[in-house]
Amino acid sequence: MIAFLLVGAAAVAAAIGVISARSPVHSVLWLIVHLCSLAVLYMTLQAEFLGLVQILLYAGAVMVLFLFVLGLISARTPGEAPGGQQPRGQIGFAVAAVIVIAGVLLVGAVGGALAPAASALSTGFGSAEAFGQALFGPYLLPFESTALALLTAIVATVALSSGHDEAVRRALPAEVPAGAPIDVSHAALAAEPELAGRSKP
Amino acid sequence: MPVGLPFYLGLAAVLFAIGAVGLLLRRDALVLVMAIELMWNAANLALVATARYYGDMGGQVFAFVVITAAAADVAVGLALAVLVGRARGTLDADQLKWLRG
Repeated sequence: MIAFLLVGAAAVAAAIGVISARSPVHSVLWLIVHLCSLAVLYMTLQAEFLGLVQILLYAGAVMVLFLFVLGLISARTPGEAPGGQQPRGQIGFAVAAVIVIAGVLLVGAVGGALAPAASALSTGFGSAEAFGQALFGPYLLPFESTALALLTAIVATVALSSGHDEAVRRALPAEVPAGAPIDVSHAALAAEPELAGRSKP
Repeated sequence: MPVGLPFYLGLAAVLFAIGAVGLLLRRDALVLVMAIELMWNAANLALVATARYYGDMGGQVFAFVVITAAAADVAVGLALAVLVGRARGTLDADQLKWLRG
């Protein structure tokens, strides 16, 4: 119970840090804390292998990818953090939507109280061996489909980042020099009258 | 007092809601991807908790599949972010609006 409260509080605090940090780098660091605390929660749920995968794959590889991209992008726009800092104006709408989401999810969680107490576990539940038996036994097809998903992601990433910058730039309307503040509305509307007519409801 | 399934599901709900708040409030595209990560992980926590309390490995296997899907999502999302950042010099979601119909 104490472990759950401590780690759960850490997870919530880190999650709030992710969405409230001013700098994206701080967001990534908070996200690493969050993922590590979730890994500890997985351990308390006897999902040892999954906890290790979480640390190795998520807190390791994916977060390095995040930091790498962050460095790549901020290096191109010196002196200016990528993206905006202030939240948008629709805070009231956001809070209302989130209250609805959290309410629905909490009702589901309370409904989970009707679930049976923890059933007796077979020995080695959550170990790498049991995980492998399940993965390559009844769940072979989902496992193979993740291979397909990863292959798709690799092909997509290579295709996206293989030097089609000019094609992308031509495909975008209202050419602006890189780094300049973007105001597509006026330029695009002046250039295309039918677009202006369409944009008015 | 043992920690029951509702505690874990409630925690997952709270984490999912925090991710949703971030998705709605922030403007930096990279932070939006991170908020989506928070929501993936909240779902994962619910999956692992139910797997534990029903004694079924299926939940853990599905959480593993979700981790893979999230990794693929991050890879493609960050590639798109780099491309857009290069072409436009900004990642502010409010200014990236030329996809609007």
